[in-house]
Amino acid sequence: MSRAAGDRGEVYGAERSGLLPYCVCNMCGHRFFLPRAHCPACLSSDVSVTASDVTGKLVAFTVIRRVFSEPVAVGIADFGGLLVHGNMTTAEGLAVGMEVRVAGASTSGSPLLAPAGRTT
Amino acid sequence: MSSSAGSDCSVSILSYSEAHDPRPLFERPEMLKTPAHRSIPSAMSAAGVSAGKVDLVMLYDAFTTMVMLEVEAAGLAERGKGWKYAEENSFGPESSTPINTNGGTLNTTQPAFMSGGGVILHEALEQLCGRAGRRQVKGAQRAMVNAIGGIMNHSTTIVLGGV
Repeated sequence: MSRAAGDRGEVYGAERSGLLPYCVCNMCGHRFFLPRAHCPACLSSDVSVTASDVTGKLVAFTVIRRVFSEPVAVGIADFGGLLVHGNMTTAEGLAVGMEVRVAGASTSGSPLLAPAGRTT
Repeated sequence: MSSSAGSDCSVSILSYSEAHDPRPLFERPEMLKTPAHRSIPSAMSAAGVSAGKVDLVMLYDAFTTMVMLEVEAAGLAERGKGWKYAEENSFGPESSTPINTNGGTLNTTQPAFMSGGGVILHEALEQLCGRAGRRQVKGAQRAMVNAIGGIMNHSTTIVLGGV
């Protein structure tokens, strides 16, 4: 699935189907998650949006513990050089280097990331 | 700047520098390397001083971790060791490098649009004019003031000198 930049509103939302939405620069090939009108690598405005069924690796995470709430984990995952920040579906059993996949969208707009192979 | 007593106090901007990195934190290969790591050394170099040689360091502090990153950017601690500096050194007016002598915005909360100017910069002016009362750094003549914007996206540094 690949769309023009103007359709990013439709593509960003693909998280709900387990896909990772991202931008691709048509000039230099740079891929980035947060949608921007210009490529942050070469400043070209020739940017497309797309979404893929991919798995990444968890490169960092932290667990937030608050009174009267279940622990919440946020993490950064590397999808082949494409770095994505998201809420984790679980705060337990996480480890740097483990495989993760997109498992939905959080209320903040970030993707929900789940350990690959684990059902949400 | 005029005091309530009516006497004037002059403070000069000795140097100024700013640096920007629009990328979100998670896209940066080195998350601990912030724009402050460029603007602070640049301003300090232009003023011909080092962080350990100024009388006062005022650091924008929306969150505690910002202070740690700025302490590192100022060269007071090596990268990733700002917490250790805070553990082993006093930030108070009597210390060798007083930092955020009014407690910064972590103490005063974050007044909208006035955190940098009203809390951080204002304290530097009070100190350089000798009006900080019990918080006064004795003989304060040089102050480094750093402000952060975005989520560690922008950093602006000035070095101030009292007359």
